[in-house]
Order: sequence, then structure tokens, then C-alpha cells
Amino acid sequence: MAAVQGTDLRYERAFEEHWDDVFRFSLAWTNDWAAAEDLAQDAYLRLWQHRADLDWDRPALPWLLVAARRLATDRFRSMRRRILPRSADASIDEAVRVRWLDVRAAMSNLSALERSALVLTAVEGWSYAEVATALGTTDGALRAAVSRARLKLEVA
Amino acid sequence: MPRSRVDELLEGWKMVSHSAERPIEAPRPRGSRSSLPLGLVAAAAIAIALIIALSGGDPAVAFGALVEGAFGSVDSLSEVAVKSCPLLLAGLAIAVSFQAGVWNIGVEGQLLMGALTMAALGTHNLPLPAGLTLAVYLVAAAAAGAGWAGIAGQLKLRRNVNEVISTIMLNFMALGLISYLVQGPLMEAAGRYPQTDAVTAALWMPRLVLGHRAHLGLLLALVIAAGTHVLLYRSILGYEMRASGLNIAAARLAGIDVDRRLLLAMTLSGALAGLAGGIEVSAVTHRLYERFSPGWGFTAIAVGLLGRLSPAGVVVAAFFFGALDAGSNAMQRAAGVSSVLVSVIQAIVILSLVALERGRWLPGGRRAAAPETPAPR
Repeated sequence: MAAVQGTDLRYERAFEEHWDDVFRFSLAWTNDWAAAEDLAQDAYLRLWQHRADLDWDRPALPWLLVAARRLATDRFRSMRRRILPRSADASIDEAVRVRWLDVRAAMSNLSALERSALVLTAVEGWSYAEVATALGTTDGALRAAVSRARLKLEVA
Repeated sequence: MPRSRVDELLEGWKMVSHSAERPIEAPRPRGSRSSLPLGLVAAAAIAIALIIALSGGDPAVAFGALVEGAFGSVDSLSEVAVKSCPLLLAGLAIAVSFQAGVWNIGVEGQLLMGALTMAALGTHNLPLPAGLTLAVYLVAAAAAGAGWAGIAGQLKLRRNVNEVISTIMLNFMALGLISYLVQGPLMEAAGRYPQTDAVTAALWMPRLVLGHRAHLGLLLALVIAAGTHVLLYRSILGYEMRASGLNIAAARLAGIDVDRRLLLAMTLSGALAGLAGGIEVSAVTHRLYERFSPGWGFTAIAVGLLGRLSPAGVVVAAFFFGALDAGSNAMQRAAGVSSVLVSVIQAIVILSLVALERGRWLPGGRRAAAPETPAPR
């Protein structure tokens, strides 16, 4: 029982410490506010389901990011995004909505990899090694993606 | 130096993405995921012990006798198998239909129609090997159940008749039909009792162990349970059926032919129920009479719900209910507790399930279900 409660506490802590990162990562990957909220939510549900067989001594964030990225490629999810009318990003603050629409439009010219690579290194300030792990790619490919992303945005 | 477009965009991204607020609570699935809620069974056992004690019995003796009566010997194990078989198939019928959001309360009637078919056909031989004839008749029994369920299915699709009402009504019609037939056209040749003639001995379901009543039907039911699992969780058809059950509007929007999936679920459910009846006639009773079924079709609803509508869970729940049934007589003999108490036990298990779980096992009551059961590729 004590072990179960310990796991619960760790889950709570993982939620408090990493939620923002998981959400921002999902936002960079999908460029879609509502989808990012869904993904972050589902990634945590995955973590909850696997809480018993997880090595909690290792950091939870990389696990969550990989889970979010895999969930994003879920067939049903992409299908749902295609058929449902784009939600009004209900939870986004009215004041930033206009700015977001502008940024999202520009960012939509990038691939998920390029966008994530650029945003996570340049905005979030994560190390290249961290980002490469989360995106499941190599250091070289990541650097190439970042410069490609900058180039595309400058031209646009 | 003027700010570049890229810097402006990245700054915008930062401003926007950092404005997001963390949810108040960490996400958690809404239900526990164990297929048989053991905690509930334990809680129910305590309640039952109290009832036994209040009715003047010794709970320890009664439970001991119950377990002994169910698992104490080869013979009692064989009885558990016999009692579980119809519950298992009927429970699967519930699982298939409920998962698709079709409330088939008519498993009892469909089971009876299957039994009727087997009893009516079974007095005739086909120019085929006996095993093959039996297989043909079992398929016919399943088809009869499917057809009976199909009536409710068609009524729902064409006239929007609530299937709960129509299937319940069809139960009564099946009962009435059998009552008429066993006293009239299908009454035994000897003409003494209101029952059909016995099925030709060559068409009796082979037994697993000589001298015990456990029969091949149980193995068949287990294979079908595995097949149902594959259908529901590993096939696109099953995925679409479950999707229709979880949210019919979303399923329709996703391009699923919801009407046909619902009809399929209903028919399949009826086929499983009909097969249960056919097997029971061929393997155990060998004939049909009024009160043939002690309410398998209704107990099956409890079996299905206790098994969380998953085929694996239904297998466990069917054995649990079968063991209760098989052990109840021993309990009555040893502890002087009425065997009817077993019905109370079943009822308590179901009630605690309903009270404590608040419908989480029903389609639409499980938001956490989607990530657990990904779409088949």
C-alpha cells in the first residue's frame, strides 16, 4: 500500500513538474492548441497506466515526450482531426488568440520535426541532446532541421 | 539592428505557449482496469456472510460447502463446467451487443429459439456423419437466435423501436411459442409430458470425461470467446462496433456505417445466444420443455457486466457464476442455508457493482478506454 501511495505521489510530482513541457512539446509537434492539450492529457494517462512497471528513478519527462509523440501518430487521432471542425481553441486566452493565429499560420509551413526542433531549442532552451531524444532523431539531423526551419521562416 | 521575422515568430510562440495553464488536477482514468473487480466480490462476500449468520447459519461452514461443492471433486468441477457453458455464451452475447451500444435484453428468448431449433431438428437425422449433422444443427440454432434478434434489430433500424422494449417482448413471445409447441405439435410421441421427444442419441454433444456431464460445448464456447475477443479488439469490424457503442454520433461522423454495425452486433449477439440454447439441448437436457432455461439470458447480463463486457472477463465471470450455481446445493445440504441464497449472492455482487462503479463499464462511461484499445492497423 505504501508503495502504491509512493507511486501516486511521484505521478503527481511528474504532473506538476512536467505538464508545461509536455504541453509545449505537443504544441510544437502538432501546431494545434486543442490537439496539444489532448496529447498532454493522454500522455499522462499512459504514464498512469504504466506507473506500476516504470523505473521511477529515471526522469519521467523523456518518457512522457516519447509517449506524446507516439500518441500523435495514432491513426484515430489523425482521422478525428481531419473530420471534426477545427475547435475554437476554447482554453486559449482571448488576448493572445490573434497572436497565436499569426504564429500558427507561419509555423504551419514547417514539418512537425522542423517546428519542434526550432521551438524547443530556440524558445524553450533545451539542449540538442534532449531534443534529439524526444524527437527520436540524431544530433546531426536535428541541427539540419533547425537551420531548415529558420530558412523557411525567413523566406516566408 | 532590426528584429528578424524569425525572432518575432519565436517570441510570439513563447508568449502564446507559455500562456497555457496547467489543468487543476493530474489526469487519471475514471475506472479501475482490472477485468474482475475482486474488491467488490470480497465486499459482497462479507455482506453475504452477515446474511447467512442472521439467517441462523454458520458462514464459514456455508462458504466451505459452497467451495467444496464447486471444486471439491472431478464431478463437481464437471458440474461447474456444465453450468458455466450457457452462461459463457450468453454472457458473450451480452458483451457483443452492449459494447456496440445495443441493449439486447432478449438473450433469453434468442437462447430459447436456438434450443427450440435444436430440439425440433434433432429428432431427425441428415444423410451425413453424425458429427457433421450436429454441426449443421448448431449452426441452425445460432441462425434461429440471430433471426429472433434480427427482428428487434430491423424494428430499431426501420421504425426506431427501442430494442430494450422489443427484445423483452420477444422473450415473452419465445416463451409462449415454446409453451404452445411442447403441448401441441412438438409434444413427445408418448404424449404424457409437455416436452419434446429426445434428440437422437447420435446427436448428443460428446462428453469430455466419461461418466461426467462436462461436454465439448464448453471447449467450443471457450474457442468462441477467443474469437469474440479477436473480433472486438483486433478487427476493424469490431473496432467500428465498439466505436458505435462509445459514441454513436462520433462514429457516424467518422464514416462508420453505424446502422449496419448495430444490426450486426444484434444478430451476432442473437447467434451466440441461440448457440447456447442449441448446445444445452444437445449436450445436457436432450429435449425441450417449458421452464427449460432457469433465466440464463438474464443472468448473462450480470455475467457480462461483471466481466466488464470483455470476452476474457466474461469467461471468468461465467465460471464464477457457474461455480456459485454448482456449489449452491452443497451449501444447502451442509449448512442448512437455502440454495436460493446463491441468487442473493449474485444479486449482491451485481448491486455492489452498480452502486460502486456508477456505470463505468458501460459504453460511453469510459473515457479512458480509447488509449487502452488502439485501432487495429
